[in-house]
Amino acid sequence: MFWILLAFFILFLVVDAFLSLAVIFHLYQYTMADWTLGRTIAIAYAAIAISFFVLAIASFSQIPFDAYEPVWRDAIGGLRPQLWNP
Amino acid sequence: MIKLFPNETVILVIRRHWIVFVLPGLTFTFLLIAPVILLAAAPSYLPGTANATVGSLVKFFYAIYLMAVLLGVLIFWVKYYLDAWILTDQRIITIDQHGLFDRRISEIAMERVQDVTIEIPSLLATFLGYGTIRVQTASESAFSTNQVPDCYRAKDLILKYSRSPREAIPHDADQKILRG
Repeated sequence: MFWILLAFFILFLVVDAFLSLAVIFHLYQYTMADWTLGRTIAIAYAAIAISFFVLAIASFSQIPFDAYEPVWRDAIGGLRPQLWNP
Repeated sequence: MIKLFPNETVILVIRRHWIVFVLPGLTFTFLLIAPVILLAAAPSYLPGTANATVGSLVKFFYAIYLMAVLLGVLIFWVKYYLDAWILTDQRIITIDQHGLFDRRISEIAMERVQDVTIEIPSLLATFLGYGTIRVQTASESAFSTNQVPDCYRAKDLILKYSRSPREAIPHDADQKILRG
């Protein structure tokens, strides 16, 4: 489970970073010299995105992968008890 | 970087009216709020989600989700921001930003402008003061952009500079960025 989630996380980060850099590149490349709003927004976006990234890393490090399966079994069991306790 | 000719001055930058933000704004707000409501209500129908073990997993996916939504907001805004008409005293630069990697840039020399048409398409457009501008050139090609705020003023400026593009027209008073 750990490796699946890690692979998903890395894949997401690669796509997200690529698109983010593409957007920021556009804001610097295809604007006029006095269009400063785009650069301000790019900096604000980077700050917010990095804070979400840190939150994701912190959450990922706190996931107790060993306790994973029983918890989900309980969660789904609360919804459909007959699936687990026939 | 978009470069101007020597002695060329920007007289107006036209972007779309703020009305274009309404529907996407509501969508993005819903996308931000919906998970919070779902997570708040989750323990009542999925008792296991109240467990701290699941909480960190949910928090992880929520952080990823927020990153994706934030990127979506940024891409939408950049499409709005880069999709513009730049009116200078010598030409009109039209930038059609269809997608992040799909853009079309055209230039029309002011002396080639023959007709300028504006169209106010609806009651809402009449009240909010936006419309479509269509510029016809001497080569019979036409350029248009819609949802332009204060399109009457834009039309007047295009006509003014197309009739005497090389003359020294005082344009300091005209310099303004049109936004919704």
